[in-house]
Amino acid sequence: MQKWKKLHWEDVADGQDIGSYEMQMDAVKISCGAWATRDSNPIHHDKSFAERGSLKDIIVNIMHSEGLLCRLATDWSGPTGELKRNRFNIRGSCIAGDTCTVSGNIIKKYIGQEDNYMKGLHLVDLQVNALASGKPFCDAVITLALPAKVDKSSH
Amino acid sequence: MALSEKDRSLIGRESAPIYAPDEVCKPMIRHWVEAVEDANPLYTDEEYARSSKYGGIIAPPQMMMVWCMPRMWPWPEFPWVPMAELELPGDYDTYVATDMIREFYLPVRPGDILSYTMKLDGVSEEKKTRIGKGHFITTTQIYRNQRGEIVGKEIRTVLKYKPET
Repeated sequence: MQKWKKLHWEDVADGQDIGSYEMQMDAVKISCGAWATRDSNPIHHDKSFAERGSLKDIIVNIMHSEGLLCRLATDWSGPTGELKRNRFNIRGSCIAGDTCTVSGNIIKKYIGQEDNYMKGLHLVDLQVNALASGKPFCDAVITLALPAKVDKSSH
Repeated sequence: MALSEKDRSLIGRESAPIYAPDEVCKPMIRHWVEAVEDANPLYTDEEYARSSKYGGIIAPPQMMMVWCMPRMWPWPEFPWVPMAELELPGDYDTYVATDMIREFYLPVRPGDILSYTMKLDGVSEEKKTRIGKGHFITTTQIYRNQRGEIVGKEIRTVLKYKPET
């Protein structure tokens, strides 16, 4: 079986870059993303509809956008990183023909202190940003739980 | 202008469960993976997923909302949700989502049947914003599986406003 990346909480640091990737968002990719998220809104499929709403062409939908951001987080951590929380904001549109660039960095690493489902977990908050041909598209603060190394000096 | 008594009475109310048309399944997971080009083996690699703490393939957590998107045909009857009954003083006809928070509590697996309820958390008084006057409306969607366990939540704030001309 292929060996997959396994990033440990101890090996990451505040401010660290988490990499980036690019995706060419042509009309087929945009429509594919809308159908994969069961979204029939014509703004994601029908160029003439988009033009009537003053857009140049169809746009990527919200659920697809979020998927693009979350993907960077687990690409970086490997499959042992667990998505816990996602605070997402839309800043603009990604239109057919745009190149979408997703990049990010660690805001901070911490152990969950609040009395909730993340209590005691080894967490990182990531700032993940997407641009559409260089213009703001969407961003998120993504909270990921990472595996911690066995540490004989603790507990 | 203050919120009407009717609008204030809707705050805190929750809809009945709205069910996903299909159970969670591997083909739909794979379609999503294609759109995002996400190589996470937990979503598509049976051998890897079996060896993981999950014991098998799981759906991407961020697909939580996707499962519950309505059918296109036959067109479903939409159930009552508190937000649909808001009267809101003023002439507001445009929505923009301003903030979306999703929390993921439990893994979602092929065969699961998800449902969600929508609760109206709050409605602000009229605010003047950069794009126009309107009201901020906050709702929580609570997603459960067929065992009634809460698998995740979505807390969303939208601005219902009249664009500044």
